[in-house]
Amino acid sequence: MIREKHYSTYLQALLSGDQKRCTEIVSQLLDEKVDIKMLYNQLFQRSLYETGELWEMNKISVATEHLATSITESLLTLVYPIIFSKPHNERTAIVSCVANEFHQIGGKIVADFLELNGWHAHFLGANTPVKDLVEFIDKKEPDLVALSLSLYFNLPKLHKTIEVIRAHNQKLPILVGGQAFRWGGQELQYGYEGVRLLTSLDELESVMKTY
Amino acid sequence: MNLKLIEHIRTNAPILYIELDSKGYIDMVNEFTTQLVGKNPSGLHYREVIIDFTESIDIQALSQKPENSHRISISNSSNLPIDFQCAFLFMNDRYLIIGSTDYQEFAIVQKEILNLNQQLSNTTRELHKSNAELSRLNKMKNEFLGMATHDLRSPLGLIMTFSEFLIDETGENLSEEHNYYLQKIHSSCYYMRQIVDDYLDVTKIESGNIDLNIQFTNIPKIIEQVISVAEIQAKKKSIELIVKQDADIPQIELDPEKIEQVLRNIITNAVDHSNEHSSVFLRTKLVDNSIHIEIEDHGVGIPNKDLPILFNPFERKTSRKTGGEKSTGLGLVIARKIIDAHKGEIKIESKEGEGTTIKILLPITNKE
Repeated sequence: MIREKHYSTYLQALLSGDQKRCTEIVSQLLDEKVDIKMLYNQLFQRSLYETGELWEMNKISVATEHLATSITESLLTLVYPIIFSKPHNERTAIVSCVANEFHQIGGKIVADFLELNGWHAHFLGANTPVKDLVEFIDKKEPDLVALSLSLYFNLPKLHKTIEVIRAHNQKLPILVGGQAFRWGGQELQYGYEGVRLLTSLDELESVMKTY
Repeated sequence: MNLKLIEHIRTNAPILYIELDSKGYIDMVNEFTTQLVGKNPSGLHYREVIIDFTESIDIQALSQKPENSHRISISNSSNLPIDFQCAFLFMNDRYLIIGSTDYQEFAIVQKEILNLNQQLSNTTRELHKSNAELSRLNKMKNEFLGMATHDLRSPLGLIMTFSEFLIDETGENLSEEHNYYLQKIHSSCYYMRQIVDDYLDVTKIESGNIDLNIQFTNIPKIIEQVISVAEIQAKKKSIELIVKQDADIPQIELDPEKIEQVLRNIITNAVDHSNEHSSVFLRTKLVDNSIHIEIEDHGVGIPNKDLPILFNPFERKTSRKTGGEKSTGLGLVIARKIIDAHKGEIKIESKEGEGTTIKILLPITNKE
């Protein structure tokens, strides 16, 4: 459990752009052998959600929100030596953002969570053209594809991406998720076979066991 | 009141404010502009402050449409261009330039930086992933090498023992030719076991399985033991071993067998690479809180291109021994790993054709 005191100190440092302080807090937690899933859920994800809400309420500027995201991305690298050295199985996933979606950190956290659970997760990053995504699917033949959507107005792009993947591959399981679905679009999962909407990392973890 | 307020904003607000006379010379600026330019630019022509190398800024034309803003760059105190969105006005025979920071430019730069940061972070992720994969493969390689060499050791031991037995018991009854073959079997077997032992050492060390049996150790005594064995080989090439050890070397905590292995290897190497009738020097000194051991030979030296790879296992080096002695080339690799495990340092200085000096530093880390 990440203590409330640690969380609020971290959030304050994150919002003031104090990367050094954030790094100290995360390094200290790692030294104390914090549970990595807890770190992702209760520190990284929670602080990013709160930062997003503050931006939506016009309490922080877009620059502050972007800085907080960039700092968080740099902090993830502190965890990578632990994540990638864990034993892995043969399961492979591709995680990507759709075209025009520039917010990638949600997808990256999903990719890291897959790695934490022993999967090999290839993360393609922000704004991935659907053509490139399909080519990569052909090359890697993954066990599933996860698509991340942060902005609701990119929902049509997600539909398009799913349609192209389906036309190419009838059976490949597709997971979708992200902050965009807070505003609607949940029905998307019923419109295509083998597409599932996930709303949390815990849900992702339990679903992964079924593949 | 309103005029006072306007005057206050003009003077103190963080905006660009420049007044020009009708010929384009600066009459006055506010404090923000003075700080930005690094000096009060009054008296200068506006082209000396506003970057306009194409001379396309027409103040008169711009001031006719004050409702339109234009982007201009001001040369700041470090001669760097800073962009502003400006309105140009003409009032009372004077031109006014009033500007604010170009947020559009900021937004573009911010987006670019964000994009680059994302790419960098994704590349870092891939790098970590690849590193982990390489570590896994290296571990598998070590496990395989460890198993293979371990399995080879027993049959090699048998061949060595029985060939030795045959030489001792039946050597006299064999023809010279058959005796030669038997000696060859024995010496090749001995060399093969050396290779296997070195491989085993490297794989054990690389897998992190180096077990140190730490105990209080007398380094000068170890050196004497190693020298007494090396002298046999040295005499064959008329090489003199000159040893000088400080009298105040204290006993220190380390693994005596492992350190003896390192010293044996380096001193043997020094003899093997030395020319006949030369000398090998060995000096031991106490410096601050560490023991310095220096082994210096005047032999063939190490080619420059080999120096960076001396401590890399399984990389072929070109240096040749003067008496045709055989070795796996893993000795220095093992020595480095053992010294590292003792938190010490090993350095090599060498010049091809002149000789080599190896310096070992062992820190005194005694707990008692």
